[in-house]
Parts: sequence; C-alpha cells; structure tokens
Amino acid sequence: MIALSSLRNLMDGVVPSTVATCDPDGTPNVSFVSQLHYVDETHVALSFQFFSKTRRNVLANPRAAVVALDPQTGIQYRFALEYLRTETEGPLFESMKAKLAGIASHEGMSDVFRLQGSDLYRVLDIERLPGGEVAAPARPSLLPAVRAVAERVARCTDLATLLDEVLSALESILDIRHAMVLLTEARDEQLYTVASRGYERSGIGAEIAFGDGVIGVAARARTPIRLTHAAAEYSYGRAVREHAAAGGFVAGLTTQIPFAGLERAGSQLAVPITAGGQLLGVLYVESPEEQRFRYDDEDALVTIAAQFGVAIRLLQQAEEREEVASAGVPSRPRESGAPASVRHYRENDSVFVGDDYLIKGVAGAILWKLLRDYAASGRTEFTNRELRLDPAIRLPELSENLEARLILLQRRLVERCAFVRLDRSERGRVRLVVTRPLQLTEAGA
Amino acid sequence: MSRTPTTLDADTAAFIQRRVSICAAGRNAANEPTAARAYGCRVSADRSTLTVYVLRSQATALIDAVEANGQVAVVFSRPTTNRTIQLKGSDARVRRGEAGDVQAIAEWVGSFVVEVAELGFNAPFVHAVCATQPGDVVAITFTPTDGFAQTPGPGAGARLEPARAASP
Repeated sequence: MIALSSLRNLMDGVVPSTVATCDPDGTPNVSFVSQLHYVDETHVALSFQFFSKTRRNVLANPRAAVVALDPQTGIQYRFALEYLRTETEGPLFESMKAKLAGIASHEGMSDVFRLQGSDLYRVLDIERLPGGEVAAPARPSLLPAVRAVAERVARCTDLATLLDEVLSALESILDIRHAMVLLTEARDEQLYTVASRGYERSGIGAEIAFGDGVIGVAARARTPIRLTHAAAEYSYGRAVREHAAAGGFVAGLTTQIPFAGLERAGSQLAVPITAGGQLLGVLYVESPEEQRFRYDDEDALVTIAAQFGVAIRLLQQAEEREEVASAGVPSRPRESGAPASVRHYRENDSVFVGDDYLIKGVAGAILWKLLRDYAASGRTEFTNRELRLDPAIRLPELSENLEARLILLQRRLVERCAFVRLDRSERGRVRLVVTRPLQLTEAGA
Repeated sequence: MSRTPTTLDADTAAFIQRRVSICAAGRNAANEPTAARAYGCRVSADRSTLTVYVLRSQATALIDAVEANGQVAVVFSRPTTNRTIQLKGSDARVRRGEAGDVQAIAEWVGSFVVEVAELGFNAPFVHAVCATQPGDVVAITFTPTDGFAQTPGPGAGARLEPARAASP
C-alpha cells in the first residue's frame, strides 16, 4: 500500500475531498468533507461538522470511500476506509478543530464550519488513480536543518543561552523569523514567555492560559497545533484580551504584559515541550505567510522540541547540583537619586515599580525576598538553593523550574527597571545590584 | 424504498452543468461504497434525466457497481461559493462515451478552469487534472429521484422539493 505519510500534503485541506458511504438499504451517499486528516500510517480522520447522512451511514455500515486530490501534483487517490469511532476531545480533536478553523477562515465560512467530532477511520486500501499530473516543486529534506539545530542545542551549557540559541538557530537555519518559548506555570495552568525573537517588543513575561489560542490549546491537549491560514479564534489578540478580562488586575492595576505575537499571522505552529512525560512549555513559531508550515515543518519542530525539552531538564538539574563556592564579599554599588517606590501585593506576588507593573508569581516572590533582605541587612548575595527552599517564594513543587524564573525576572528587570538588576555570572548564585534608594511597601491584605 | 422521479428545476439544471466539482458514488453487492470524480454533466431537454462522465481507468469499481444495481449518488459543488447539492437515482445505466460527450466535457472543463482560477489554481493544472481520453469516457445516465441541499450550514441535508412542473 502507498505510504500514508507520503500523502500528508494532500491532507492539508486545500482541496476538499469527497466521501462516499452506503446505508443498510443499499442507497449510496456522497458528500464533500472539509478535512481529511493524517493520524498515523494506518488511520485517517474526517471532520464531523453536521449530523449528516454520511454520519448516519457509517454508524450503520462502517465502510467509506474517499476521493482526494493532491493540490501540488493533481494526482488523485481513492481511500477505502472503515469507520472506528468519533472523538470529541483530546489531541486529535484539538488539532483538527484548529486546522478546520484555519480552513473555515480561509473560505469565509468561520460562522459555519465548527468541528463536532473527529471521525476516526482505519485505512484498508489506497489507490493512486491514473490521470494527468503536473510536476510538483521538490521540497528539500529538512533533516540536515534539524541536525544543525540539534548540534547547536547540544552545545549549550546554561539555560538562558539555550533558550536564545534555539530561537537563533530556528531563524538562521530554518528561516523561521518569529518565534518564542513559553514555560509552564503548572500551579495556575499558565504559560509565561521567557524568550522571543523577531518582535518589536519581546513580550517577556506575557502569560497565556491553558486552552487560550494556539499556544494554550497545544499546552492543554499536549499536541502540536498547526494552522495553515489565519483564524480569529486562535489568534492571541483574543486569547490575551480574554485572559486580562478574567482577572489580570490587582488593586485596579493591570498585571498584564502584552503578548509579542504578530498582529495577523498567516501560519501558526505551537509544539509542546515535554521531558520525562512532563509538560515544560511550548515552542511557538509563526509567519505572516499562509501555508508556511506544512507537515514536514511540524515534524522538524516536534523533533527539535523533544531535544530542547531534554536539554532544559538537563541544564536545570546541572544548576541544581552546582556546589556554590563562597565568593568574596562584593563591593556594594553606590545608590543615588530619589527613592523609588516598590510595592508588593501578596495575593499574587505582583511587584510594581512606581505604578508600573513589573512581575508576579514565583518570579515576583523571588524579587520581593531579595529586596527585603537587601533592605534589612544590605545583603546582595544569594544562592539558588536558599531561594528554592525559602517558604516565602512558594515554589509549587521541587521540580518547578527556579532557573527559568530567575531568567524571566532578570529579563524583565533589564526591560523595565533601570536601577535594579540581577547579576548571574556565577552559577548557582544570584547577585542583586541596586543603584537607587528603594522604598518598599507591602500592599494589600 | 423507491421514490418518484424528481424533475429538476431550471436553476438546478443550470447549476449542475457548469463550474461545479462533481463526484459520483455507487456501491457493490456487499454495500461497500466507491466513488470517482466526474468530468461534466448534461441534463436532458425535459430535465428528467442527467448524465455525468467518468473515466473507466479511474472508476472501474463504480462502473461495475452501477451496471449491477443501478444505484448512484452524485454531488455537485461550486468551489467559490460552496453551494452544493446531491442527486440520487436507482435506474442508472452506463454506456461508452460518444462524440457528443466530448463536447459536453470540454464545455464543463472550460467553465471549471474559470471557476477555480479565482481560488488560485492555474489553467495548466486544471487541464491536467481534467484530461480525458475519448476512449476512456463512460457516461452514467439516471433519473434523479431524490435531491439534497448540502451547502454547509443549517440547511445542509434538507431534501430538495421536486419542481412543480417542467416549463415547456
């Protein structure tokens, strides 16, 4: 039988397929189907959008025939299928739902096309039909590029470098110019941006709730989500706004960091980053161009994300094991200027400098601990280990990524606060550098 | 369950003959369905029967099935609007393509090239997909006894009302 994986571009939804079924009385039925979806080498799924005769027929008589056209070559294929079941949630459903939203938007049918279920079929046979064909542009293998990215990932020796190196490699090797890394805040089912590339503003610290937009759905369903056309319901504009409305405020001030993404992405791909069976975050890439990311690109990004996840885990553990050498007492930098107000809200550990929101959550708690100790005793040197064990910081679990929070905090300070920074040149150790007098206030309950 | 013949109304007859993507389906004695793309459609002058054209090289199973039991279902969809209807019949018969069929196919191809050009498909591509050899053409003719609106949306699946009377 023809390898199903060789027909994946045909299943990207550019030309609708037709599906034939037969009722138990022997009356055939034929209809167009928006989506023929590759599941694995022996299964495909069809989009179930309306309760139709096709659906009634396969529930009674599971055989179906699909005729599909390769939009690049013009070659037609006929699939003999057997209906197995319908899935209405989970990875298959979520990836088809997102793809259908892209197709619907492309066809101006956003209000009409809505996935009710993913009808899963076993592939019994595939025939390549004789007929005219045109030469398709050959796409070079992505394996050499994946190898080159993998080699750069493997050379990284600390997490901050790794995060930036992956994005830099995606740009220089795969020509992916807009990308970001988000890590999970498992306690709140949130993701926060920790690195980005290709945007006017970095969006470091911007949060996405599980389930919101392409990234949130990829995290919740733990499956790659790929859109080949722009779809409003998966764009971040909306995801971010909804999240803000749902409670991104403290004491009437917003704790929302604007998301960096493109205003109108023609193609989007969000790939979960996992290691040891645990979700660490999401690698997200996008392009203004439609159909920029195909199945092969998804393969490449999933492979890169798998290695990336292991590297994140490994560098995090290396940092945990690091014995901290006692450093000499550094000279305290001179503070100058008028005192700056820094406020902390305990309810969500948000920290404001003046009226400007800086950071919240675990990273906010870390900053507040550093600043309080500094104010009380002038202390500037801290070890990662003591931060991890400090009850005030409330790391949700031992496995939570302190290192990632420190990177997030360090980057937010660089972007938003000129007189407080973290020096992290020594592994396993944080040095607080304050160059202006601070007035700390514990606000709220 | 047999249904009475459904004379096509003028609008439907016009719709299914131009600019539409067409797929025909049948089933064998084991009720296993099969389908093939069709390359054009002709409606009889009194609009009581219609003929669609398939290729023997692509549609052997369908042709065998139609010859054996006369059951056929054909879907017509206009790519730029998604307007879609399905017609069914149980008296389908097949015959070899004739000279007149070549003309009907050429007219349909010409209209389809214009239709999908709006969606970005170029003419050489459409001509390659729709290339037919006269000796390969098989005509399937049937009396539509049932019709369904299948344009995506709330009305999808509704049965088409028979035309009240064919205008003379």
